[in-house]
Amino acid sequence: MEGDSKHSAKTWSIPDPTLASGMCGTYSGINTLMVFPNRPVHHNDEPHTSMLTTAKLYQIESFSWLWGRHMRKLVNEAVGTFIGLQKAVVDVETDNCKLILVKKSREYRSMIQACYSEISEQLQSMKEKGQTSDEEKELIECSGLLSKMELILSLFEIVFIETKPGSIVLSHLISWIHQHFPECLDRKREAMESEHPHQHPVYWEAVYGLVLQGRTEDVRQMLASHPNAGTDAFLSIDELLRKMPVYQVYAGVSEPEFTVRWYHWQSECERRLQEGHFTAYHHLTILCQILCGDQSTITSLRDLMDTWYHFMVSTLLFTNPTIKFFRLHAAAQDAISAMRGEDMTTSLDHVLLAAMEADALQVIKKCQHVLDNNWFTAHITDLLYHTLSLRNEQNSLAKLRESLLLDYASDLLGHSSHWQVGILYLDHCGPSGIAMAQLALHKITLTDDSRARKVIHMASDRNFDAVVDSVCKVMGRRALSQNRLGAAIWWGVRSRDSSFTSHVAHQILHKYIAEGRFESAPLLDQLGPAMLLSDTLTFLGKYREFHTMYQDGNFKNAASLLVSLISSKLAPEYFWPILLLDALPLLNSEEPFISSEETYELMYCMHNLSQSSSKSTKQSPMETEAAKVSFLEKEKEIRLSLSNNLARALMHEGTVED
Amino acid sequence: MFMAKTINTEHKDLIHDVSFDFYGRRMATCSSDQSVKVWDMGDDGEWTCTCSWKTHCGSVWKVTWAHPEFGQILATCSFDRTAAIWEEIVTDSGHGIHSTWIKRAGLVDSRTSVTDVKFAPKLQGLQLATCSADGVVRIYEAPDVMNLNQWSLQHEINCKVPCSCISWNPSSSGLHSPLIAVGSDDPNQSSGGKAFIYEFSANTRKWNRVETLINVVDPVHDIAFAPNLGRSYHLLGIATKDVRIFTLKPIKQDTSQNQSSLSSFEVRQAGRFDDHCSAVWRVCWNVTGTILASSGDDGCVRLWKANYLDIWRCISTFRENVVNVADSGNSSNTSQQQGASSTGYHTARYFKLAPTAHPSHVPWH
Amino acid sequence: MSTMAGATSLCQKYVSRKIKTIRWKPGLSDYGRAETFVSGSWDEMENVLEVWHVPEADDDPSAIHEVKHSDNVNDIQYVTRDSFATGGGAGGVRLFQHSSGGHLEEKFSWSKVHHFLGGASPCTALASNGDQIASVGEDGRLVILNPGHKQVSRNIENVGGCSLYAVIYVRASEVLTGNMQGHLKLWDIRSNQPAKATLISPDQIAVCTLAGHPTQQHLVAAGGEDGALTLWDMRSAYQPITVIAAHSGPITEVRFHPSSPEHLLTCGLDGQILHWDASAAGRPSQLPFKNTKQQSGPSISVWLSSEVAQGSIDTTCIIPVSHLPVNTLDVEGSVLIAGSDNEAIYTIRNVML
Repeated sequence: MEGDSKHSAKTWSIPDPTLASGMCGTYSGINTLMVFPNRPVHHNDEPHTSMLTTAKLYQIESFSWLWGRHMRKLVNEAVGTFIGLQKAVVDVETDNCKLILVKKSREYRSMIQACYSEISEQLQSMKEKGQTSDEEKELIECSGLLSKMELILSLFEIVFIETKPGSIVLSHLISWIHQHFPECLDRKREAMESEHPHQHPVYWEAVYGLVLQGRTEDVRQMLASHPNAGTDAFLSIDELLRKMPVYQVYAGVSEPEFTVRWYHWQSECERRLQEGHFTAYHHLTILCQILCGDQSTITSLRDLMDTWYHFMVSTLLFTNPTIKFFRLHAAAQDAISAMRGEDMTTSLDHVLLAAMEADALQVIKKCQHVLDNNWFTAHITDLLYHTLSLRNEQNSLAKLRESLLLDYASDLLGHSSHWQVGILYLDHCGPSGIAMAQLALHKITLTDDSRARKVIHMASDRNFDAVVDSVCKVMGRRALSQNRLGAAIWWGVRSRDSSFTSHVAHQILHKYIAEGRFESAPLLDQLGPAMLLSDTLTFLGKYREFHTMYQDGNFKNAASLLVSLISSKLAPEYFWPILLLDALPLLNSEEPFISSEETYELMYCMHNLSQSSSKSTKQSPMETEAAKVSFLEKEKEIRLSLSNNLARALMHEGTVED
Repeated sequence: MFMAKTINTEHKDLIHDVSFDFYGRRMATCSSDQSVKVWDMGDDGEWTCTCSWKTHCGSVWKVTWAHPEFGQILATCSFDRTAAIWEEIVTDSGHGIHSTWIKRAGLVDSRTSVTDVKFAPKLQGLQLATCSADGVVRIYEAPDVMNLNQWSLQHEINCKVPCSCISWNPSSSGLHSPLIAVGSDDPNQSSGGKAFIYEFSANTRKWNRVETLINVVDPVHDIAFAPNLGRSYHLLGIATKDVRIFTLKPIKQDTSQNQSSLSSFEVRQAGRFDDHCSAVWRVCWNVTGTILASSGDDGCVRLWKANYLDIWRCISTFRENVVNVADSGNSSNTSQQQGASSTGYHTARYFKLAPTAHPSHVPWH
Repeated sequence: MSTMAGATSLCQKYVSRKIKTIRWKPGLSDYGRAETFVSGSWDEMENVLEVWHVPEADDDPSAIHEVKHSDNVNDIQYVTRDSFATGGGAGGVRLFQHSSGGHLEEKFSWSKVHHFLGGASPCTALASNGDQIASVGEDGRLVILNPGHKQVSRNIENVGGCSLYAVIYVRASEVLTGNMQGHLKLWDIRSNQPAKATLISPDQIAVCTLAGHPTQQHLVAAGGEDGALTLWDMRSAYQPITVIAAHSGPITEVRFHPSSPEHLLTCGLDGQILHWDASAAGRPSQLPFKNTKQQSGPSISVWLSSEVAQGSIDTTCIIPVSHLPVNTLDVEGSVLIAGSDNEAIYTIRNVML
């Protein structure tokens, strides 16, 4: 483990001489670093510098091929398959588990293939236009990456998901080779489409290539087009090809039986070779030698096979078709030495070798070195983790899986658009995932209402109440700073924060005093239970109720409400003058709407107010000053009305109904 | 792969601190030219300076943002022995939006240069901690979060050694008592550990020193708690002679005992790295607490990350480009590739950083 | 030409951008097959408007042209057959035209139509009566614009600054707006006061989207923040005619099918697209008695019938669950298109079956 850290720790250079004497980095997000020139300071003296050029900041962000315009689709396609897999493994029966895992693995492969073909199309159209550019280079790089990932994943599927450790693996490997090395079919088509196929330069190459992949039917077709197809030699080889036994898992032939048949067939090939059936035709001799599993012949044709794994599979096809999985490693090593020797192996070779050794951990580690993001490694680790779990095998992958998924999710969260997908992954990463999801949702910039709504929706789906409250509070604060009091109250109520809502309610009251009307009257009329969030808000709601009652002509109830508002001290002190002024018309009306008890209350309030106003030294906002002034003007009038009303009320109450 | 973008600050003197708001879309920079500049990121990703003003009578050492729930608030600390709190007022002057920052409070209790200022996690309300070269950590609080003019000095902690840095534990759950880590840059080697952990006891309403990191004996220049993501332990990064990473695991207390007993921690050094080969001046965690950035006297910034087995290692290094005449023909070295990335993710203003093989890069084991 | 009676087919195309708005381009004639649509993206460093062509076979749509749009494309509304307006996240409204080659050109733009103290406010929705464009935004303003004139024609402010989220033209000079407090307000744009106002629910649930019945102009469907779909008759708009608990999250778009308005389509943040079929409720009874007047189907909208109010509607969920919000949909003929936050455009053919 210590060794591999060296490969991935790269050094990056920033070209700026002002940074030469020292630089400092601070994080602004998950993956964004801000670097600025900085020299260490001693806090007891002040360093200065005369800067000829002003300091520059460098915003450094990590960037991956996964964010490219075409590759980006993989992000969204994969999350669907990922979540499907998590759900499927929960309630699956053991019989079906392999099917599900294979299906998911194929889904991943098909999305890689789809992306690959799209990029190939794009490159094709770029070639036609004849432009070479950086973009083209990047696309070529990406398509190479995709084909490698698909290669690895398909082998991964065979080795870890499809095959049981003690079983015969060759048939899967053969189809793996078939999928990834179609050149021989191209050559066949090229040759067969020409006028005289057997004279086409690639004719025999095609034949050998097809045989090495075990495509006996295609070989027979090609040979049938040879003018000498009717001769004994050709008929003989045709028969051998036709009778070549191929192991199929469900063919009903047991392994020992197949081995017997295969040896029998190969001895027949050898016999015919020795008996000289093919001496007249050099090419057929070679063909038969391949069928006999002659190592030197196969090795001589290694250029046709291009890679050591093709070589390995071809060799095994004719030398040891019943090879067990756990012997694959040795065969692989042999193939590598035969092809090129150890020095020339690429990182892809290392990965494939590790896969053939069934060393999943190595596969994942080596992939991590090559790829700069965890899209591939996180998904295959997850796939493998579930495979092992469903087979009830010992599973040491849990921690690795979680770590890779968390890394991948934080890469997604660091991207400006993929935050939603990131949260979806974090649902399946254990408690760290949940904590990270909460933090991430807190940190999503709330650029507008619809984004805030989406964050709130995701948070409430996951029961992150703290996030919902926080988002509403921040939106409310912002609305307040923009002077949108109605919106501020709406968000404040949602955030269930009483101090903030109180503050906004006070602002609304002040505004009412200043302007004489309510801005968001309908909102306040419909507060409902939210009114109870803060005292001031309750008062505001009730005061609006008073207004509505008054406007409806419901004076008696309005009056009682008004008095109760004053006497219950629900109203803030600066608002009392307004309330008393509101009471004035009710006091002056002929019918005594305000009873004597209530009048006493009002008088008491009046008394308190004049006392406090005479000794008020506190600075108060302009509105209350203005209110105070108008109040003082009317003070006499109010006192008069109060006494008149008291008299009327007493009389009314004292009167006995006739 | 890394892409970089430049921003011209127009500060006329050394920049001491760059700090980001909660969302990473507003930035404040402070400098020896005694001013602070506030920058906003537009929707296109570009930074524009929305305000620049003189804040102190001396170099401004640190600047920090409060949580947006409290509004748009900054705190600064300076060589002039004061710390200050600023609030943004936005006005529409008819010619466009105008943003000004008003000084709400000045904290003048310190007798020496104030070296660090940090807001507490939002769950503790609007609280602020400052530390000074005279060794005193002061904790202030605004009891009414709507009125920023009133700040009261709630606690004074005398560390007895000059302090250079503080960090609040950002634990977002209410389960832990508040913790502050303090670092000292006292050059005297024999005075023991230079990093301390203080805990607030709700019962006695006092801050108590609960831990001294005794194997940190060199001057500490920076200290930072990592954001806690579901971990059962706290993670602390320290910038001293080298890069240190400590884990502090709270030891479960027997609750039948004295309830007012203080927490104790199992302290483990998770990493000690001298890659910088020199003093380390800053450590900074990313938002998820998974990567630590360290800046050292060797002119490099290094990024540290733990793998799934909790083993820390360096994942990237940034350094200033050194152009050697001998290497100028070497394609792997100096060239920076300009131009738009085809992928459309970044605009042309980004350029790729070129990977280099540092000549004196010593391989590990 | 009769279409083959194929089953409903779904195409999902990943387009590498989150799609906020998607609209069919009005065909050359009212009966032609819908062929072209426009999509607008959001939440990107560089947002784009793209023009797509839908082939007859069950294939994915193919992109024809794209233009950059500097801010989020919050809404697209066709003004004439060839030109449409976009409402942007920075508060501007722009007018684009389809040129003969299928390309898009920006013809006109109004910037800062919506703003509040402290900066630009997003424009949230647009509506058009063919002549003027009505735009509403988070600043609570309803603005009427005339293509070709830089000056804003009318500017009506919503007191309290509550964001407006939806707007539709009910008549040529009457506009209905929905706001964050859940108010539906009917405005005569010649005056300053709303002619009528009603609340969609007592709990301050925001109105997220509105749709007008294609023929019966007083009939309006509103999608709310709590996922409830409500149907209103604006002539007596104090109580909704029907309330359907449609989605488990805010509804992002509601649409009546333009030629078969007994069908309603909705999509929401819960990732579902739902098809509401009320046609069964409107069928006249099989055995008319003598001397009774038979209700003629088309003239009375099925949505007003009591059966629908009691819930006899067929519901179909059209797409397999998307894990991310579906932001927008539009339907024309038998093809439904939808755009979502998982960077996919859905093309669903034969949606009416």
